[in-house]
Amino acid sequence: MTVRLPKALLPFLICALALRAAAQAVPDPAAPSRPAPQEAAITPPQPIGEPVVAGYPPGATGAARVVVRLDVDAEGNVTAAEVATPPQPGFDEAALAAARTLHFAPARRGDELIPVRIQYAFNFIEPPHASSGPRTAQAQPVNLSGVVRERGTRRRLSGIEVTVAGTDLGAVTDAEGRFELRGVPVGAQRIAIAAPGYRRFETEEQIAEGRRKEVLYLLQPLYESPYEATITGERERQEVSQTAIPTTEIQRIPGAQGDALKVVEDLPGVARTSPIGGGLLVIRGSKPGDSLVYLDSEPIPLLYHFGALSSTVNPDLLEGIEFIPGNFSATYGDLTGGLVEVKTRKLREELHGYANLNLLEASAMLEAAVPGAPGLTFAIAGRRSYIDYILRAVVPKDGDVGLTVAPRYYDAQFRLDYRPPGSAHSLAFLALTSDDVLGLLVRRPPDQDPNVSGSIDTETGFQQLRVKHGYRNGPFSLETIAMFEKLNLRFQLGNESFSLDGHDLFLRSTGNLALGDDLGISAGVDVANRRLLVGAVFRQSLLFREGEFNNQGPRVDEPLTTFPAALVNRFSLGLWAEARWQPLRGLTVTPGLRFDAYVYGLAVQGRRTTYTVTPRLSVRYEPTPLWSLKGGVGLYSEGARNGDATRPFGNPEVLPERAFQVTAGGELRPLPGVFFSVEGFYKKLTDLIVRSDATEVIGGQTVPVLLDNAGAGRVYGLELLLRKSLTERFFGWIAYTLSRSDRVDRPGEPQRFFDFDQTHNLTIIASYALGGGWQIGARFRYISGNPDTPVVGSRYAAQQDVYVPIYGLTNSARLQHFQQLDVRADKVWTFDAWTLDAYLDVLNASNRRSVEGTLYNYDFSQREQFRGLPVIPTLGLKGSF
Amino acid sequence: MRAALMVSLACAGCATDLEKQSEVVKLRVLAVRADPAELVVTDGGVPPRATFTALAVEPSGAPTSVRFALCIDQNPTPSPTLDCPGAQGVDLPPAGDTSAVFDLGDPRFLPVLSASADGGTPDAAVLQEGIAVIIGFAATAPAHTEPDGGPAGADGGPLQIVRGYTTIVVHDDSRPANRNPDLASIRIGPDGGVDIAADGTTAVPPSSVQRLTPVPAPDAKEATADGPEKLGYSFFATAGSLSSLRSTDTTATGEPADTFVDWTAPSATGPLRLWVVVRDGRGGTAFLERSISVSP
Repeated sequence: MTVRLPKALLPFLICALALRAAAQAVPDPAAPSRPAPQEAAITPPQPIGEPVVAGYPPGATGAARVVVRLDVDAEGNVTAAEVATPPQPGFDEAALAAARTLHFAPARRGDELIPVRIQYAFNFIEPPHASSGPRTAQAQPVNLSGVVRERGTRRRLSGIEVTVAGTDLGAVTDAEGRFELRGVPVGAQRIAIAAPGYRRFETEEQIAEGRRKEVLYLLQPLYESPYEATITGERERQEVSQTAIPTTEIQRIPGAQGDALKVVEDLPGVARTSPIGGGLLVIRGSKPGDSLVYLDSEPIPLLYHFGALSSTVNPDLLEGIEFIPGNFSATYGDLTGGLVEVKTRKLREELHGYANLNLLEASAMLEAAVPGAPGLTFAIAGRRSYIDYILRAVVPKDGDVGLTVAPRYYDAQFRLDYRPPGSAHSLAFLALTSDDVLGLLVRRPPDQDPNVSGSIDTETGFQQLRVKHGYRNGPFSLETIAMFEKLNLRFQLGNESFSLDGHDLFLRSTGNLALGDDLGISAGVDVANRRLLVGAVFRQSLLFREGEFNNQGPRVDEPLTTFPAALVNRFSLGLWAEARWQPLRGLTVTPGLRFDAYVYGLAVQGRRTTYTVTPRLSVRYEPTPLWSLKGGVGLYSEGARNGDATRPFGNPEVLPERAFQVTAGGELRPLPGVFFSVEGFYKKLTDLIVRSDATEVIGGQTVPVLLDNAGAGRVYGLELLLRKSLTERFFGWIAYTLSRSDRVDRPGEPQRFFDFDQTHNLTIIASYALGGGWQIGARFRYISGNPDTPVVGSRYAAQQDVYVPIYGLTNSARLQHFQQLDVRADKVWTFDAWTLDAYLDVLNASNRRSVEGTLYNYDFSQREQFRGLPVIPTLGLKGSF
Repeated sequence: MRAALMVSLACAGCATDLEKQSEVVKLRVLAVRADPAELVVTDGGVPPRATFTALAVEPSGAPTSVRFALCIDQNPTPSPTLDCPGAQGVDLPPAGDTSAVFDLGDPRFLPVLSASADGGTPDAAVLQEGIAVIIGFAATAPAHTEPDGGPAGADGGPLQIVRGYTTIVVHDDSRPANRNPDLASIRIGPDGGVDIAADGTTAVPPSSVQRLTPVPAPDAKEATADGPEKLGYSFFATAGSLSSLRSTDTTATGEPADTFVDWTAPSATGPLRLWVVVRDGRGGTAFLERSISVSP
């Protein structure tokens, strides 16, 4: 069984509590496996006063365990209680009655008293028969002991009551799942375990005189999941807009194939982009590149393998994702859109792993503690596609297009964590690699471009080495991450080529200090030094930008530009500070200030340095855990990327792009596990880097300006999220975004739609565990069609034998809406020490091929819709232990 | 780039009902040849001249005419909306229905060419490298008169109009002028095939698949500083289906390649026309037309 607290519903770290009595409150079973986020310095509430005992209900028989959810206010009083486990008549009422009499020492964040929602469990043991002896016999030796684990995942279960039938003997498992029973009568004894979420367990043990018996009990979960659930207390909400999705939900979302990053597209504020384009991240109307994905606070350069088939980081190493669409804190800089923070999870100390096979790829993972080295754990994971083997078999060797390097991708990760017991320090090492290659030999040039023939080779890859150090001492904590990154990007496309070899260094250090009950400060430094060796032979129109209507590809008749291999530098330094001030109960004000310096240019020439100072402010008012109001306002900047500041790709004189962002909204938690959020946002974009037709004289030579900062834009919209977090059987959400994003490319030019302006974006996700190892889910999406630039005519370029399109107004047309239904079914077989998950993930189950673009004939006099992928079933097998 | 490549790959197997470039079902300009292929200027010499000839075809055999002009805007990547011939061009004197003469000595052209060289004459280095001069053209033919009405002209209206542009390189005499390649014949059939007769007597069965192999003239490929020229071919037919619009004898990255394409004859019997255009990638162009008949 997995018990997941409603993450979106609980704004605070949650703790399970243990009490021991005839009807005892015990920790929730999975609670100890929760990795306590270091950022959330919250002290859970502690029960005070006499132990509360729930009376055994009259007429009931057997053992039972009732988990209740309690709202505990800032005074430590229980203000609400409800049963979280399946109905158990009699026991539920007794547990609720007892729960309402509980009183706690309030939870604290630092020295602040805060309201929280917790889970609390009562174990009921059938009263002893009249002939039974004393319930416990402390004086007697332990003669039955063992460990209770979950069947399949082998997860140790704590807080589980183990009873000897017909006696009052019982014991509760500790944090390691261990129990000990003293004085168990000699002879055959029935041992029983009744735990919510698990099938009742009974077995017979032969107890011998004077001997201690060691046993292992495996509990069968009622709703199997091959994915281990970690109960994650909600991180302290420091961002105005933040949605966290745990891996246990990600793994079951239809169409996502268990991929954490693909799930982002299902959240409010995120535009859908065609998978054919490689899977772009478009958040709140900002262009791709304005938003970043961070893995443990440092960016990863490539999110997906080609075709967005899989992400480049193994999802099984992740705890989940946190999505921040805008108004992020001063912690983050050098971006004007939104961000996704992917969090790796705490490694398990016992040997675990999995092997996964599907139609496209195979992957495996292994993790364990290093023997003899307390606190040292490791994980290793890898994945490789075998599309190459399939294509080699089916692609004809003498066709117009032949495979020279069949497409394949792989990625691998190695992680080593060291958390010395009792030490304030922790150390983590993470190595990542990812590589995609494809090689084609085009024997006959395509109709569209006679220049494209011969070798078409692409390779994209990266390697990262990360070292993270953490230190925590009382109110002070410090986390530092250093990263080396090697980038490799090259392609050859006929007579055009591009190569990039990057050697990048990153450093991020963040310190937090609690100064009192109502004040804390954070500050940090954020450095990125990119050193890129770049060479290219290309056509300028190949480097199309947002809003440029080259949906028909680059100009075939454009002369080639040659950029001999040269070193290009991009250095950014961010210094930031932030305060968290709580002037009133429930009111948190977070002012922040960030300074960014951007230095870029050719290594051998003068570099240009620009600075930005961006103040930010967020406010959250949360008088009770049931509802809150929130708002934020701030300035953001983003230095030129992708060669925009380097000739001949761009212009060294371009300034950072800027954004002014405002968000306001509220959150409601009307029921346990149910979360509703509404947010309105507005963004004003200025100094956008756009193409220029102007020329300038430099050193006596007339050169094209290429790029300047004449662009502007605005984005505004409304986002709704209604979410039910995973508890035992069901999770799902409805995400809806109403938005408008437009641009003015140059003063005086008409306003136009942003390339991915999607007025309506609706996603509905539902997943349900049927029992018996079956899980089903569906995802439905309805999204307004993207703007499109029509082609209104053409001219024949006789030397190249192609037609050059004449475009109408940019983004003045719109494609048909996108609509798709994806479904997924899992069947999990649970064995004693491992689980086997067979899954069928069907993309576009209704085979409704949505329009992804417009196709034209050779002279652009005819057009038809370019439709996306048909139904794509993915069948897979995953064994986990 | 990645996206474009993925779209290309994704579309490689896309079935589409759109008209193909290799199908000639309306007024088309299949090539424009300049004779000579380049203009060489010499100190004190007579200004050179070239004759442009458009391979303008109309499948019904309707008369076609082509008007040429020197474009005022000599941007190396011309705007497709350039009104040339028209308000933004200086017409070339015609030399036939589909031909015109570009004479560098024509005083009307001097202001245009001077303006493209920032108001003066191009310096020696630029002239040595060569200047690509933009020549616009417009081909016209009567609107289609096929029983089904036929496809509209590219620009609509009572006339079919095809607009476009070509370039001719002008350079000094430090290097020889590029020569146009020539096509000797088009062969049809397997194993090298046989020449398609110039008199139109070649016949093929309906729906048969025929291999078309262009045969360049022996001296078609010139030597250049980068090695022998790479010849690219384009294939067109008024009926039937071609497996590929293009072929090349050497790919852009140097691999030798087969120049043939496969043509599937139409199921209907009757005469039809085939064209092959060869380009040397440096402005040299040649074309050859053949008629064949489909008969049982």
